[in-house]
Amino acid sequence: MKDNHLSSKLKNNLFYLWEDFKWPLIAAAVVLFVAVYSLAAAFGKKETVISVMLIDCHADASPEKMESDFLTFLDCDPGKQQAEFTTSLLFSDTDSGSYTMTSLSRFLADIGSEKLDICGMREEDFIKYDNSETWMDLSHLLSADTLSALEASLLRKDGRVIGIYADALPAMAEYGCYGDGSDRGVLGVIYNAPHRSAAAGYFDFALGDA
Amino acid sequence: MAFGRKKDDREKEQYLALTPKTFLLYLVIILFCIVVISPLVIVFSSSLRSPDNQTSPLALFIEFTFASYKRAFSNMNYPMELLNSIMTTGGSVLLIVIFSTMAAYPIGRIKTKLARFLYFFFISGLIIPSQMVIVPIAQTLNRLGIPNTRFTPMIMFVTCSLPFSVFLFSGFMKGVPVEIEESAFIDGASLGKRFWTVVFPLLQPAIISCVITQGLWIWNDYFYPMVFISKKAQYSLPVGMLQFLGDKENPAQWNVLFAACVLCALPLIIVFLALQKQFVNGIAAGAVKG
Amino acid sequence: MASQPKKKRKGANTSLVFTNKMYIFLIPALAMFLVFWIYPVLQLFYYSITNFNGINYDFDFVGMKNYAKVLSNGTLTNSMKNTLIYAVFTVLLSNVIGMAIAMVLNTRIRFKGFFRTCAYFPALFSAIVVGFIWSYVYMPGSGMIGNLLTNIGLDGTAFNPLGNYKTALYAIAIVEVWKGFGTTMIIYLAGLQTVDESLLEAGRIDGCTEWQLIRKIKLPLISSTVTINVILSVIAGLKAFDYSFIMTNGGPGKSTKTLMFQVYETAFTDMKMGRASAFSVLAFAFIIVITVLMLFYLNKREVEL
Repeated sequence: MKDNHLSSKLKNNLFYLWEDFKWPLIAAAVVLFVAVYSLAAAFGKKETVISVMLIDCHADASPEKMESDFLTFLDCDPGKQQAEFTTSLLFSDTDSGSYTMTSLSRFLADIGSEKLDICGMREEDFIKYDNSETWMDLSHLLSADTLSALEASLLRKDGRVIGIYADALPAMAEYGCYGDGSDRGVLGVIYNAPHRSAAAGYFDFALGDA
Repeated sequence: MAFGRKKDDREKEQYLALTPKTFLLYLVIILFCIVVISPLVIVFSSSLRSPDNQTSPLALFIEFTFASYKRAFSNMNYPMELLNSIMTTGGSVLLIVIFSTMAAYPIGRIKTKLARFLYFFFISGLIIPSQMVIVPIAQTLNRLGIPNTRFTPMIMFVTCSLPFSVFLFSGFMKGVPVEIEESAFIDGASLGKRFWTVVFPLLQPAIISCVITQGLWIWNDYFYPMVFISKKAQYSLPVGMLQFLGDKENPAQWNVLFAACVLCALPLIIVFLALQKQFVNGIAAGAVKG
Repeated sequence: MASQPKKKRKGANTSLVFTNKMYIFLIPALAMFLVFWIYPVLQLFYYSITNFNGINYDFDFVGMKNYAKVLSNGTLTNSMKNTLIYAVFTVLLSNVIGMAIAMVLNTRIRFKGFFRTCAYFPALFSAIVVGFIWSYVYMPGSGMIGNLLTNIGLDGTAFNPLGNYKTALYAIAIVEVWKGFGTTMIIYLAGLQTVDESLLEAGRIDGCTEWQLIRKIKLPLISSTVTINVILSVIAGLKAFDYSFIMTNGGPGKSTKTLMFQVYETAFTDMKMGRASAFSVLAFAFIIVITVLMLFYLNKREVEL
């Protein structure tokens, strides 16, 4: 009897608690959910082996295919490791200047938070964004074999090797990247790239098993 | 509970009688609606063409096919993106309303220099545009170890909306009579109870306008999702839509883009039409004053 | 119940009902605002005295050089002028139209819901698409307006608002108003709903005309809504850049380069993040001075009315 009374009182209290504070409670639940989701994502996150951004590339292949190809090349476990490929950004002459601006913001934000390794873009942009050494000197990064294989298609500036023309990389052709248009695509490595050896590996991969 | 929502006990709405004056009113508003809507006709007519019909969009309704819609629907991965959009927009708007009504409460009620300062402090946040500070923001998120998930843009949506919403609510707070709250205080209601059961329900008209304006903005925003989302599966609708945007080599498939645009706006239109009555009644029920 | 009133500082909070305990409510909003907004903005201030280019974090201090450069090279005055014209135009138009439509929709008119939906239809669409549609509306000769002019016997080909440096700014301002007045209207509508019907009834009994009702009863009662809307649209107008990017790319000449357009161009196209930061700090100061002046004026009027 007493128990019953107590539980009904509790029920009543809970009811009023819900009636009075439903909105802050729901909001707290949302915050909690997002926090837990982010935490889970942060801890359960696969290790990123490389982050590649191909701007203005018009790839025919999907980023997922590029990712799985490269992970297979590196013998990585797709369950634990991942490669980030971004192919949707556009710099040159989109129909909308604000899309360009957003793409540029993404580019700068990824460099600023030291996430980006390899970036490809049109030759003109590539040279433009090199002021104050955006691109790493590839002559120190790549192996002598790779460099000699690519000798004819290296982009040099002030004695540094800053980029590799995309048309020299069979993988780019296979994906349909930078195939069209007058301006050639160039790939380079960002000066603060976090995954340098993987970046060097990517060029070996892109060259094929030659 | 005495301060809960009042039941809407108005008698059935009486319409204005049709006099020359009201006729003019109708004429003006109908003309106005035509002017407002007419540019959108271009979107609808173009979206109903096949994807490779290149004739000028100004030739209206020359073709009726859902081919563009089909392509947009399948290329966008519509159901997934719709779900992402609903989750981010819904969650952000809810948090915005709760956080900013809470913040506006002391700012609107306390009459000290500090409260005044906080008011201007929040407003000053309206002024710097997000594109300019996106790099420091990305760095901050990175340093805090917040990963790029589908919910990361939500953090920025809520933050960017705070200045607007706090400003809006602290303005409306002036219209909520302090007397009701004082009597609740005398009845011994706690601060939390006073806010959530007395003040919060009375802010309803402002909450509805906040939800509409911020919801529209967040639903259509592609800036934060594009910067903070890396995976295609986590895209929201506007980002998916912009994937149809071309450049000089691959001109945009405008017909598909328009179809995608309609698909993107469609959930909003449905929500608007479905909740039209509730909006009107809700706004009226929240009306207090006097 | 209440503690013994202690001797308090002048200007301190003495209210018994609205105690300082209320500041607890600020915590979530303030925390987010400080971490994700104020801290990044402070970094922007810091960049403004460096030669940061947006990419390389190995930058040097240059002192006030950026500010000197921005003030001397003339881009600031040009974009400030454009921005002011743009803001005044959009604020006036969107508030007048927004308020008028809100007042009409607040009467007992039929199909209210339908008209209301029409009014915020443009706001449902993304700015990129809106920009594209309007380029067809404005297209000289065969565009929507050009066609209309030809049909009523005027020269439609001469109508080219985006190509003329005198009209381009107004042309994109109209697009902004078209897209934005729905939002303004919603806020006015919310304000008008709080106006007590019995006051209007009393006014009608006293023989007020409709105009007098609006002027003497409605406007004073929604004055805080007016403040909100005017301030919001002033700020939106002063930081506008969307349609300059989407429709005109700043041209023809420099006629549609607004403050924020100039900032982005300096930051992202010219890769001068430091100078752009200095530019945006100056723009920030400019906007905040205008906003605060207007807020004081409007708040004073609110009290007077």
